[in-house]
Amino acid sequence: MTAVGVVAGLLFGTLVTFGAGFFLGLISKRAAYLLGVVGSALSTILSLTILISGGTTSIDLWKVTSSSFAQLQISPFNSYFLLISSLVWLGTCLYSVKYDDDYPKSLSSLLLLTILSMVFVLVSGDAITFLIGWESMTIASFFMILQGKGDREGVRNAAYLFLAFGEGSSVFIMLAFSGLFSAAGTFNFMGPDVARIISPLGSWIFVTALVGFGLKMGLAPFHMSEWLPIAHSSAPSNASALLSATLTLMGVYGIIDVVSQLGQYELWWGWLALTIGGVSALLGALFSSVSEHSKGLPAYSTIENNGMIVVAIGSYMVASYYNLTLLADFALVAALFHAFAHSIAKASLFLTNGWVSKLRGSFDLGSSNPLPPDERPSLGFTSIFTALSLAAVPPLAGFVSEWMILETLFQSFRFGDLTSQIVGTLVGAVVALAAGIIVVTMTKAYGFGILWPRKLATASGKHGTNGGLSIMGSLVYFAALIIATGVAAPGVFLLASNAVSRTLGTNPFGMFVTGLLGVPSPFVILSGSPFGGFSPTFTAVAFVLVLLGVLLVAGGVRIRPLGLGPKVRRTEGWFAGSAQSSDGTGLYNSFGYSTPIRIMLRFLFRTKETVVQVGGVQRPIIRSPEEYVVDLEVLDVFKKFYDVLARWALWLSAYTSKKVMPGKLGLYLIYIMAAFVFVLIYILLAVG
Amino acid sequence: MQISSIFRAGNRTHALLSDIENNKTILSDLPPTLGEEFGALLRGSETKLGIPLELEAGGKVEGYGVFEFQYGPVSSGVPEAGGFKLVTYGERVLKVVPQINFKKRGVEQAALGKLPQDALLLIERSAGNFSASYSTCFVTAVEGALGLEVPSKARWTRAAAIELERIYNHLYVFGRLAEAASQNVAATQTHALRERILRSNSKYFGHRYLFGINTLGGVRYDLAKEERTQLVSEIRTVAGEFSKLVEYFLSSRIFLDRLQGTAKLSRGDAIVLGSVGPAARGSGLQWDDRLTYPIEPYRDIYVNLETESGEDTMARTMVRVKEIESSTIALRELLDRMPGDGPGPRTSPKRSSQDRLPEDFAFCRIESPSGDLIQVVQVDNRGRISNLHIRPPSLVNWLPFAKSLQGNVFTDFQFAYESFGLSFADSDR
Repeated sequence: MTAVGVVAGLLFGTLVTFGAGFFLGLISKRAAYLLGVVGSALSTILSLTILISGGTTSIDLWKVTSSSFAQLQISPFNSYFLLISSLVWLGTCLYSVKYDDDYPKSLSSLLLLTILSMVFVLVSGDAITFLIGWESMTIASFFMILQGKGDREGVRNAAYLFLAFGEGSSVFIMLAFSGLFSAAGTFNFMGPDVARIISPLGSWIFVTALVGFGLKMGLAPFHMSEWLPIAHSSAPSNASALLSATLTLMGVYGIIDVVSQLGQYELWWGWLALTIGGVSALLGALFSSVSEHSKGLPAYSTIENNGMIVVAIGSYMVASYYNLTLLADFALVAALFHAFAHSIAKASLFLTNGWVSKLRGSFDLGSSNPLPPDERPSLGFTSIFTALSLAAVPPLAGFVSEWMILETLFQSFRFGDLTSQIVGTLVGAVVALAAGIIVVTMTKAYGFGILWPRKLATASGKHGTNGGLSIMGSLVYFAALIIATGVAAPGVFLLASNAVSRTLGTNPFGMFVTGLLGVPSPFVILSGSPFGGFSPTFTAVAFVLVLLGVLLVAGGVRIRPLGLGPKVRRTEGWFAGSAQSSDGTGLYNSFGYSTPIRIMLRFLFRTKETVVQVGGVQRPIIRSPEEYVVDLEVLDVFKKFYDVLARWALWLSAYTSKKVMPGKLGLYLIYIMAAFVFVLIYILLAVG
Repeated sequence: MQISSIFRAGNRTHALLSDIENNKTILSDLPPTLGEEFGALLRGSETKLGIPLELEAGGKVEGYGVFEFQYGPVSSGVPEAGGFKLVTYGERVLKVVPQINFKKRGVEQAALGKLPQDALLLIERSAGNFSASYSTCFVTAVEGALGLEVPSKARWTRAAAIELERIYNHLYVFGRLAEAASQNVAATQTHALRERILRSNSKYFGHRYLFGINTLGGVRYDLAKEERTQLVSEIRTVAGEFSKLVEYFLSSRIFLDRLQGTAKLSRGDAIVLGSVGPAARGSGLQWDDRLTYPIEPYRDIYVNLETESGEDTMARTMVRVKEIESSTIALRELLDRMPGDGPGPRTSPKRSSQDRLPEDFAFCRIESPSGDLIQVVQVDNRGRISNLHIRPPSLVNWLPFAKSLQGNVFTDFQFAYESFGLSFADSDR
């Protein structure tokens, strides 16, 4: 009984702390962020407690309808997502203490309000509370994006785009919930403990939920080059991290939640999820690789990762349809694991890039302002783990989860029919390609964001603002988290298994985590029986040993007192045989780095290369224009669609406001009367 | 009308113009409309040692992400010490600025004040691949300036050497193109054929690269009838084997894909920018010094003017392929019908007539393997070189090369570069 008390106490403590932070933000930003850190720590403890102990606690608040309660509920399933979010919030709030210097006070309040709303989204046991949380999350985020720096017009557009897509998402989610309500008869259908719903409306529920939550996750075709990257990159960096790492996570939570409500799957749902996920992953990766914005790039990468998560969910559904329990279990755990790995690394990347952009004074990766030399070593060290994890390099977190998703797709030959096998194989190829392209992206982000250009940096000798405990503490925290998630992957696997054990009806940990070939027991993750196996922990150990060995053998370690060690000779880099210019001309830039992709895939990017001749001067011998302006532009097919949609909407609203609204007052009153009568009749009929 | 060369002689600056449409060479004073950068290019001989010269033509290129990429002077892929500034936003070549004179040795300055036979040693070594063309051009000009009589047989032997040089150079270019397309069998086969010609050179003319064949007023080698027959049959075998290789080449889609449509140089640009040689003929220009400015014996033998209208790398390659064949035919005629008089003096001419030397200059145009080579020589009354101007073919082909590469991608670079037959040693002299 005390356990329930402790849980309830922690939960209310969390809510109250965040709520207090929201109000305190109006007075002191730092205090608010520090409260945010405390609140995040509380919710971390809460979610870890629930995940390890198991068991669900529900707190009924009040009656909403005859059959439903407004309810707070904390189960292993939602506490897994709460854990991911809390870990991200903790680092983000810590980072904000320093980062927020030149933003208005309201940003801290809005940030904490967004966090509070997300807690409500996660711990709501009923659809009404969920939707209230969801809406307030969207609106708070909207105001947060409005605080973004730079081009005012651009920021405002980004915020409204975010709002439009956020509200679109809400509409579809309401449609999905209405379907669930009609089948369940109650709004208390959140969480995995509710009996599974078998409804003729199943397809309706699934598709509207996929669209609704998919909109929030920025999946193709609901986003591209439009709302998510623009919105996430225009916001202040701490807000960007919050949006990209945890707000899209709410979408993942929602989809998995709805999917686990549905009792019986249709085969084509799985195909739909696989296709949408695969296309999102590929397009996200491609657009990410050609992005020149230091925060647009990670935003596109978010789409790629969310696509991968949806692919894993799709595999889970197809495998469940064919009763391939082992594969289905593995796919679902893979989705959860990837959500964990991605959220942490993505928050870290946004925070790093935000700080780097602030120091460099530009969000342009191709900017010629270098990073101050005294900031480079520390930032370079922490962010290398982020970049490597997102590029899926073993043994870091990103690799483990991407490996799991690819292993799932490798096993699509087990699917029961040819079409599923073909879809699974094709999507597998696409996801592998996306994973490859992301390596290029991360090389670019790290290379041109942090490393470039070393020589100029040392030459300029500019001293940057020191990040201090807040910024560096946060980045080191994230780096440690990324390493830990990879090295201690079986632990995360255990948490993910506990989270979905109710949904799956079994705890998959024991089936997949074992020992193999001399590696002791809980350190090998198997992907089937028997299929593939991998031990992140021992890979890390081997890696460190090899690294130490190389350092020792190759004499990389200097032992000065003993007079041992290598000769060190410093020289300028080779620059095609001539002296490197001091102003950075002649160096490859980030735009050029990804132009081959823009040119090779011009059918996809709709790349336009134009040469504009400026001031053509006829020379007597060499007839040549004086100057050219060249432009390489990348377009997006989806953008065209949304442009047309926006034009129609604008036309319609203009028509309404010009032709319908300025009618006579009497006519307007008649509209109101008609609407009132209609509602009355509807209520009478509905109640009757 | 194409400006072929600008040089100073006496107190005046002259321009040598080629009237492409009417196949005429016109000598005139410097046209007042001449663009400054073009003048600098052609007067390249006046630049100092150790200072690289950027051959920039055309406008500035600006835009988001545009940067200058330094390629060379010491990079893989550039076979000599010479550089390029590539203006690009990645992958796409927006503009090329060749950087020459890294290898400048100042041949022209060094030759001043030397006796022609001493200067000859310097000249024929300044661009090893074009040694026969260089030395023949130089001695012909000097002989013109001195008014020396040269036996016909010597002139015919020089022409034979030039044709041999053309064949092995064209084979080299073809081999390099095959290498660039990773057609390793074709490349090694072609290089093997070239090596056989180099060995023939060594066997009949004493040097693989035809150094030292020319003397003032004659040649060093008097080939007997049976030697000539043997040389012809050796070269014809090589040419026959090469034509088989070309058949394979024409059926390799991978190879053709890399050449077709790559680095287009329009006929208009070729004229305006002063392109010469196979590069110009690949763009449809009908100019070949052997026909348009023939020295003896080219008036007496049949030389086919090989042109192509494709304007691309493929066209330039095909011009060279066809010229290997036509040069073989010309070589056979040269060696078969060689007149019977002696090869000319083996010793240097006496300086008996030095007080009567003309003040005027003499010039010579020779179609080297890469195109029109011009040398202008002035000999003073002590019989020493007082003025020397070399206008190498590679020098004027840099700008057409740069122009042709505009809008292509990085990987086309090698094909464009090789197909123009460019040489830094040649242009830097």
